[in-house]
Amino acid sequence: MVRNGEISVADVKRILRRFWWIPLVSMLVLGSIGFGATRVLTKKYTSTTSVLVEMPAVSADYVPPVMNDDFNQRLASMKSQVLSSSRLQPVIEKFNLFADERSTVSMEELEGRLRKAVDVTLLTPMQGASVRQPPGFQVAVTFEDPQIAQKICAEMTSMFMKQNVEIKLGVAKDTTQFLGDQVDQAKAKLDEQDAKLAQFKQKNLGVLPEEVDRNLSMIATLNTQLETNNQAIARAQQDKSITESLLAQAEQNWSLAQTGQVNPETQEQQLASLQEQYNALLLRYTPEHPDVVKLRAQLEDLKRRIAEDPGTKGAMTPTQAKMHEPPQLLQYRNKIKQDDFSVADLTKRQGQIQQQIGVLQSRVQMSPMIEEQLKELMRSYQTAQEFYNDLLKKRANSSMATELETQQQSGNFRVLDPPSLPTEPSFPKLPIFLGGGVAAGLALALGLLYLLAAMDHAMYNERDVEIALKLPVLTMVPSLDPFGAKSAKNRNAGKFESAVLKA
Amino acid sequence: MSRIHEALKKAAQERHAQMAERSNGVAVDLTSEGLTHSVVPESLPLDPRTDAVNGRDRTLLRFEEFLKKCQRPAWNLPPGASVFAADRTDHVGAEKFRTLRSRLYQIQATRPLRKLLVTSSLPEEGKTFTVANLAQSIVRQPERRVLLIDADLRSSRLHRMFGAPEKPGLSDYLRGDADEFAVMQVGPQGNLCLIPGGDDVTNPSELLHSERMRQFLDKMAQVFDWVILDSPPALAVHDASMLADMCDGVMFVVRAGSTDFQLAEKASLEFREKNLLGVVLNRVDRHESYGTYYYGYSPEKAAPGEKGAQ
Repeated sequence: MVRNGEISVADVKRILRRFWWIPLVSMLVLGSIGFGATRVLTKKYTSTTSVLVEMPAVSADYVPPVMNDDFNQRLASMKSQVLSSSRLQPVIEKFNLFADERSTVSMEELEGRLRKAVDVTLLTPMQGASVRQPPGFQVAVTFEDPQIAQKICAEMTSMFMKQNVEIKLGVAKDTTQFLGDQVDQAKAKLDEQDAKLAQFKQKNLGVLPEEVDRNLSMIATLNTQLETNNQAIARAQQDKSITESLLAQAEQNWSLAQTGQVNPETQEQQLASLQEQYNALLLRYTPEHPDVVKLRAQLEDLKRRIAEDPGTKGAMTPTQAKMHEPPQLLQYRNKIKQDDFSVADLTKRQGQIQQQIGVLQSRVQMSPMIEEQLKELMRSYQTAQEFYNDLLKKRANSSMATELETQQQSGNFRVLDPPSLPTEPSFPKLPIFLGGGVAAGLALALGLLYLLAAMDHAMYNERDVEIALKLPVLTMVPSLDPFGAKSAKNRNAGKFESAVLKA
Repeated sequence: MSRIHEALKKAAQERHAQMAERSNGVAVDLTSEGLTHSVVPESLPLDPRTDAVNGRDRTLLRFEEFLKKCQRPAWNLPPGASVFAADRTDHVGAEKFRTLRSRLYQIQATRPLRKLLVTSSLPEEGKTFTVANLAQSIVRQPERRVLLIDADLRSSRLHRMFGAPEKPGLSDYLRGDADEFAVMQVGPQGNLCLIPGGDDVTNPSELLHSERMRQFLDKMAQVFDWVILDSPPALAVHDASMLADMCDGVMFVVRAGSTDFQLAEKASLEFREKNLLGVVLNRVDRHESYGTYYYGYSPEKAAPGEKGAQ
């Protein structure tokens, strides 16, 4: 008794005891049908050939292959191309296939039949092989005539090999062409970047980062020059003031001389004043300094004049004084003019130096900004250059791979075994049909038995009663053999059985 | 060992004495008048046999005297009708009925149980076979009295199991055409009585549902240890349900491998509220039961009390 689709082992045993003949009959009948089918169905023969995918002659480390795609995908692509209508129709015409049906059946249907007759399967790699890629593939052609099957198989195999070569060469050439175009474009971009960089450098000459150090050293030099110039200006101004004081003293003396008054103390005072200036200069400069030398000459000249004319101190007549203006005054005046020129010239030079320093300092301040712009330009340039170099390398590899493919021709595919000439039909196979019939019979019998079990609402044992009626079983009386009596043969057993059963 | 042996011997003697006393003292109001008029004295105790031992009522007849008034036709048991037949080589069936007997005694120990109705959902499930063999399993015990009543007035078959006459029977008694002594047949052993179905009647339901039937069952329950009724199938007619109201318990017979569980469930629902004791699964395939454990069991190995009883 099956409850909720659950069937127990006891149920299975009971059903098998009662209907043990159903599986036998079912398997016998369907097995016979399978056997008969092998005799009735049209026989078909299968010709097979194995194609090996050879490893490349040159290692991929030296010449990287152009095609790194999955072999399964490539084979699928080749299969769809080889089994296309444009390829199959010539095969049908070449081997005069389906000659009797061409007038009644469309070419598309005949191509479909031939397509179904061709089976391409991948060979499985050996266990433990490091490369997971299939080692090759197998082409099987099933046809009613074994010789035709063999011919079609050979034709299909050659089509696969040819298609493979075409695909690989086409891909290699296309790759090379594509990479060449890319290299040209990359070169143009690189040139453009190069021009931009040169223009930028030219535009920012003196402000470029590599010129910062030079600008800083120039600033230091100019500062030194500026300081020296300042000192020269100060010295010229000092000389000028000394000369002016000397000129004033000389002019006073000369004017006294014109009026007849002698001022004997004047030369003495002049000498004392010069001596005092001389001593002051010695404190600052060496005796070889031009100012020191010059003042010493004046001092010696004044001493010499006092020594030469001690009695005529103040004894010069006014006529003499009027007639002769001392040349010393002229010298003093010339000296003052020269000092003025020197100060003006030095002052002008000071302004130039300060302007140069300002220009250099502004360049140094602009340098970080220019450096940033230059870096950006350099990055773009380097990227373009790397891309260009990479493309150059790839184009070289692609060219080598193309050359390799051209030299190898169809070396990638190799036919291991030529298409076989089948002697035994591949369809219908007796073991498969017989086994399938028996298996189908067994499955049918199992289904029938399950159906019988599901439809059986009877109770057989204590479990069934307790599940169905939820009542305790007081006892289970076995099916008694009415002929269990010792002298059953001599008794009217049939009468007894009917009486008991009816009761 | 000798002490144990003596103790066991003494216990057996005491048990034998109690049984003998009980057998000789059993009596009940079985006068012809009392039964034919279906009058039960109000003072009738629950266990009249106790009063009979004390001899309070002189109108009570001893059981042996009661049996003397009953019919004693010759029973011609058909071959193999009983699983307890001495010539049977297969004793598994007998052992199963002994099991059933033990179960019933266990139930009886917990509740009043004398009148037992045996029914099923459909005909030919083994009711009559079960009734006949259950009765024989009981009477094989000493001092056990069983009355079998064929309550299937539409198709009575119980008498065939014993090779007994069909008439007069229960229908004749219920119609008043015969008294209880005329319809009751005593078996060869004297402790198994049978009331067959009797003449065909047109109103079996009315007869079975009568007060006369109820009183008769009550009286017989006072006389016999077991009153077992073979009833019609429950789904076919309503008789079994009515009879169940008059009995202490109902036993449901199911034929293994045949009875639809839905029908059995429907029929058993009729008796859910009426002391349904359990199910007797009949005609069980030997592979489904534990009967093989009893292979090799022989009558020689049976209990001493049962040896040679039938």
